[in-house]
Amino acid sequence: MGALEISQIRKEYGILQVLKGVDIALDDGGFLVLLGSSGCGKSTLLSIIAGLAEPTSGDVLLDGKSIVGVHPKDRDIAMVFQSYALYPNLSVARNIAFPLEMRKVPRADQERAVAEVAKLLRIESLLDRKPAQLSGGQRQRVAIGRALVRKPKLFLFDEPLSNLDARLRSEMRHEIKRLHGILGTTIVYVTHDQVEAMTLATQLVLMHNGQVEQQGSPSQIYDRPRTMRVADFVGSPPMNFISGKVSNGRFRGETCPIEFDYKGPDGACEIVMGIRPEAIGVAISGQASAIEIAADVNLVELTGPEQLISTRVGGQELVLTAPSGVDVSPGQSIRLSIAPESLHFFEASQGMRL
Amino acid sequence: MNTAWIPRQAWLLALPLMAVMVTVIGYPLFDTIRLSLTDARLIGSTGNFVGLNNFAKLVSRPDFLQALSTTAIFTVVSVSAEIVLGVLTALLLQQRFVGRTLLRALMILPWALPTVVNAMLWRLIYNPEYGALNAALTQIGLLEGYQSWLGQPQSAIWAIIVADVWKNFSLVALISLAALQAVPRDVQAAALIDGAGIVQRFRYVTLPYLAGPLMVAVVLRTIEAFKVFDIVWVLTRGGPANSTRTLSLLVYQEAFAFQRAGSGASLALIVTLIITLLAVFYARLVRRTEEMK
Amino acid sequence: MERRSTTATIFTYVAAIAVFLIVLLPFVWLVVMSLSPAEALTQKPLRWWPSEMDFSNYRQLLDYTEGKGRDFLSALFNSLRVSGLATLLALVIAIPAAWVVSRVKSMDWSLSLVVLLYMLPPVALAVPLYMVLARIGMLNSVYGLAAIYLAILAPFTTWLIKSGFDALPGEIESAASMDGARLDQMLRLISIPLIAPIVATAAIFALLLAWDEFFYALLFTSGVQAKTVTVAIAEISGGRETNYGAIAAAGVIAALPPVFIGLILQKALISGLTHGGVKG
Ligand SMILES: Nc1ncnc2c1ncn2[C@@H]1O[C@H](COP(=O)(O)OP(=O)(O)OP(=O)(O)O)[C@@H](O)[C@H]1O
Ligand SMILES: [Mg+2]
Repeated sequence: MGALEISQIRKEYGILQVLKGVDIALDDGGFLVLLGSSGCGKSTLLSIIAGLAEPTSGDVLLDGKSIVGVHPKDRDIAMVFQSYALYPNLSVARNIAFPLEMRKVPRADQERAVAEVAKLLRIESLLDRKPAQLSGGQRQRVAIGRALVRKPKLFLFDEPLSNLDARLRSEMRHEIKRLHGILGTTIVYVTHDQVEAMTLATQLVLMHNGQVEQQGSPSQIYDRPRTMRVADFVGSPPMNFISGKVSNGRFRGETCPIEFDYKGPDGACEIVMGIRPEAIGVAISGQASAIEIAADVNLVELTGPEQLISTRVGGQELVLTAPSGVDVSPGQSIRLSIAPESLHFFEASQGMRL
Repeated sequence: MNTAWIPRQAWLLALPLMAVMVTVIGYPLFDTIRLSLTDARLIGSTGNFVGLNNFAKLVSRPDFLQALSTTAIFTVVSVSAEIVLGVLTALLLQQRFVGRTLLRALMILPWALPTVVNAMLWRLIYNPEYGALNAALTQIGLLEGYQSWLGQPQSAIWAIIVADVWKNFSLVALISLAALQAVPRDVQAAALIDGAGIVQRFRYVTLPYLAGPLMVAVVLRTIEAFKVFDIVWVLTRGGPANSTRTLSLLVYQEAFAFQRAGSGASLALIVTLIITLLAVFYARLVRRTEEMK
Repeated sequence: MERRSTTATIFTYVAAIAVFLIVLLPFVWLVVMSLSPAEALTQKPLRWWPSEMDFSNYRQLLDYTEGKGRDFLSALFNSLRVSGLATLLALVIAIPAAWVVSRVKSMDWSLSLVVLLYMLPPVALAVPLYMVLARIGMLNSVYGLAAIYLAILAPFTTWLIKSGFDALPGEIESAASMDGARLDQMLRLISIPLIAPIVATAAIFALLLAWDEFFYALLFTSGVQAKTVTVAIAEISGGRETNYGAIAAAGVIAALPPVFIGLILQKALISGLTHGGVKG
């Protein structure tokens, strides 16, 4: 019960166009993650869905019914804010019960609902405290609890984990995933964090400059980025790009001595080739059909399970990841192997996938 | 900020305030303007329209010019003294010494003392026969014979200024002290490490933080001082020989003692105009101080 | 931090003692006078310290059965009623107005207007106010005076309280509205409780201001039923009373509430002063 459809949403503040016609569709029970750089309009879109801001034009449908112009309290949508927005003067229990209290739910039912939510979020022991007496992660849980207690059709999360430390983040991430599994409520979730985006989403939307760059499942976005921008934004370290020309069926790198038979889609002759760092291997000779190139190692950074190797190929820098066992050191010359099927091709002028 | 959830009728919440302001301030102001163009009396005659006659007569009246200069002297001298003494005291209260907390706490006392009580206290101190000032000054030999501080035109205005400064320099000191405490520790330390001298430190580290709040204090105090009524009323009622009669007292006399409502109203409007000009001038100055930051 | 030279230390202490004496001596003298018998204050040379404490001035002023005491006590009581009433009403109208002005951008002008009106000198309004009060029979009435004080207190309490609402994170109110709170519920349960300290500060400022007011009180009240303590003090010191001790005692009593408040709530008051001021 909570299919969301956003069509042609525009939002202008004076002459500033923040959203420029956003279309998003999400099935009931889906987990949609909005990913995009700072200032691209994610929070604005969320506020419009919540009813805290009105769109300049466009429509938002929840379960097929337009909710534009409906007061936030009547939309059956709950939100978890980045700052949590807990009521500092009320106890945790009263914070969680607040939406029910406002909806005149009988006291006994309120208490039952609060107890249930508290159990689900494992905060039973905190109910009598004030928000100021809680840690960041605990506040986060209370904020989620306050959203859960209403059993809304749709949850909105605006960067809910960005104020937490790395460890707590991953813990809460699992928690949210678990809750989504249990409740099955539709969720729209804003984040900067790719790991959050990839692990939580059933649908991932990449926004840029007030527009949707691509919507799709995480694997679609990762494996078949529609634009260079998406390819660049998703994945860490980011994809390597090599500009080049295609002529007579051969790709020639512009700034680096890379050359191979071009088997990608036809179209432009000025193209950009993309290759993810993990798709580049340190060559073990004899691999058939691999493209091999010579490279000089610039820098080796150990991240733990793997190492980031920055290399130089002609005038081009290529970053790759390799298992920490591979023994390379700066200054060394190595050979890189690239599987042709892992290459992405974009036309140079617009950056669209070929 | 997102405000779509705020109901359109929310402005109604400001309605009571607006209503009060319109009835108790807007309407009287408007009526003062109307009265200023008549020769109405406070009680009885509602008066006839006389155009700008009241204003024309006023500006050439010596008592108006005298009141204007008395008010100006009072304002300029007391506000400058309050600012200088206030800032110096605030700088002192920044230093470390035994009893600093106590002294800081005591600074609120003159400010909290009601103006009328302050005036009454100084009236007792200035008493020509039994006052503490006369007694003290003669006993330590600074004064030959008892003076009538408030009874002589040369000294009365200064006596009033002293009483006013005593009460209000503490306010300036408190505001300045709060501003000084907002100067970040590390900025002070950095300036010290960079070898800035005491004058440079004041100029480049302290002053930028002090300027804004101090400017506001100057504005508030100037406007207050220009409206001065109560302290003068209690100390001298404008005497001796009208030497301490400020503009507000003159309006009071004209409109209430002599019941010349029309003429009093026009005088009041002149005072209002001057204060408005002062406020506008200061608003500019404040903006410039802020831009300087 | 910095190491100080001996001369600087000596200078600091000399200055501190001077400030200490300048601030405190007039107060001490006021209290000493109020506790001195009448003759002690009219001796030459002046007796700086009475041989014995004499509480008769206070006793007289606080004795309701006698004329002097009745006059003074009713003035105190009137002041209490006028400032209490005006402050209460000012808060009632200032809190909602402050909220709107803080939240609705298009209401900005109204506050500037209110502040501008607030700067008007009382003399600009006094004559018509007098005439109106006379016409509706509210001269010499606690309620008439309170209505005027209300107009003085409301703008600046609005101003101060607005700065409190400004500092309140918008997300909290957004959350409340999504949770289903009506505007009145939101204000009552969430927003106002969160700025309670500022409301309290505003109330104290309002009380002090009303307690201190003299000009309107002088014009609009004269009889026992409405005359405030400031008017009473001005009358006493203006010649009605020849016992200086009694004058001083009246001053001490009138000054006690604000001085007491000032000392106890110093922190809140100073932050209010700088807040209201700097935000301007
Ligand atoms: N009330 C407003 N008035 C004017 N401009 C606004 C307003 N709210 C947001 N903007 C502008 O709209 C743009 C998008 O803001 P938004 O908060 O939606 O970005 P965001 O994608 O959530 O960024 P972040 O990741 O930093 O939270 C920004 O450029 C912002 O300055
Ligand atoms: Mg945002």
